[in-house]
Amino acid sequence: MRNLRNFLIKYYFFFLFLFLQLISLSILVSNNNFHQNKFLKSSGNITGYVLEKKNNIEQYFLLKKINEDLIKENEYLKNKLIENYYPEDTSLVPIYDTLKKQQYYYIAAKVISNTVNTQDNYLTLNKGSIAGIKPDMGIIWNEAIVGFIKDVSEHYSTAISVLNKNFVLSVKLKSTNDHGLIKWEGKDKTIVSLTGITADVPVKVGDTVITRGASARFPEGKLVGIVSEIKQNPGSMYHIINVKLFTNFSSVYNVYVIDNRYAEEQLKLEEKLNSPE
Amino acid sequence: MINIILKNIIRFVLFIFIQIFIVRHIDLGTYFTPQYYIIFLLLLPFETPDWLLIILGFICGYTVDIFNYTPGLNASACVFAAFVRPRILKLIAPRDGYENGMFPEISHMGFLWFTYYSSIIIFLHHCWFFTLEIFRFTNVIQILLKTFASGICTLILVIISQALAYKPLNKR
Repeated sequence: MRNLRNFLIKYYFFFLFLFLQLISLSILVSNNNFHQNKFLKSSGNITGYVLEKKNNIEQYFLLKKINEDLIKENEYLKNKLIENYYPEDTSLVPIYDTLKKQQYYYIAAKVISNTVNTQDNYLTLNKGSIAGIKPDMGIIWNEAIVGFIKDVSEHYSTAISVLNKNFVLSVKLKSTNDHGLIKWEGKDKTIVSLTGITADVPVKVGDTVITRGASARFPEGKLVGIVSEIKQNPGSMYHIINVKLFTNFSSVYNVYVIDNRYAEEQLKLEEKLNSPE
Repeated sequence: MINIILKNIIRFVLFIFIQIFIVRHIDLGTYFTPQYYIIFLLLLPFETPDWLLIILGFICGYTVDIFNYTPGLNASACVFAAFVRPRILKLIAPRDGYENGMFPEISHMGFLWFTYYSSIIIFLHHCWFFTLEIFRFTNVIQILLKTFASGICTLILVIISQALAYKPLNKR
């Protein structure tokens, strides 16, 4: 017994090292499971508060850029207003349409912190459950995809950005409607790889890639990026395509969180496919 | 004694503040991600007991983790850096050992010694850090590139901040 005690005292430093290493590694491993995340305290109120204060200062220097982004977005949206369209057919009268119900609601939020340089990048937004944000909602910036919500607290939420290993999204080519998956390779913060487009599809550099609307997170037609490079793997059925993202992750600020009112219904239905009867 | 403790508490807050609010936003591409806060561990006095060193390493890393969305990653790398520090210090000790009242800083130990000492610890820390971070890609070349690119960045930042705080000693 005394020997054991002496042994422990002699090598206590090494055991302390192992012990602390074990704690940190278990935190690291348990948090890779990205739905049971208890760690991301950025949505916790103290860190959220600190980050927001810092952000308030930072934004003064970016006001011009933010205004330009907002003006661009306003221009895009104004062009879509119904009163801008000249009625070609005068026999049609506008009626209140009860056949259509709004499916997607947008919640404006601000990015108060984000990373771009690590292997798993996250964002912190300044709105939380009180504003109606729930996990798994998509986020867009100037009509281009940014990521989706992971955790919410009362006033803040954290989100997984496109630049994260856990982000996979079903997208399609605007020109041909062929669909594939995008995933970040972890190297360049402006490039994602697009897989699943078969070699017979006439894809060109410069083609636009948009969301497909398959996942309940994003509606169809949100911008993803532009095809920047096409590689042909000899003997493979598929193109290897690099897509340059529209979203500039270093300067995302005013974003919209998409609340899909029918998400639950869609997911519940799709779950039945996967669960064995 | 109280002075040294107070000084290190201020350093802790300052270095982590710089890491989270300034260094993290230096945007030189994915390969250059300096982990400047490690300077806190580098500058702790020689007499710091081992157990305190390693616990401080853990606290320091974990604080950065909370703000950096990297659960446990910095904590693990810092604990490792704190673990190797006493060994490195023993390895590169001057012939007469470390004198009382000396600190591991440029003004006390000289530029060459400090660069040597901090580069070893920084590279070990970064190697551990990026190996854990990129782990799932099993991409050795990327790990090495990131370690060297970011390590050099960190080293430059550490030396610059030391040079800014440089006070020549009054030799008795």
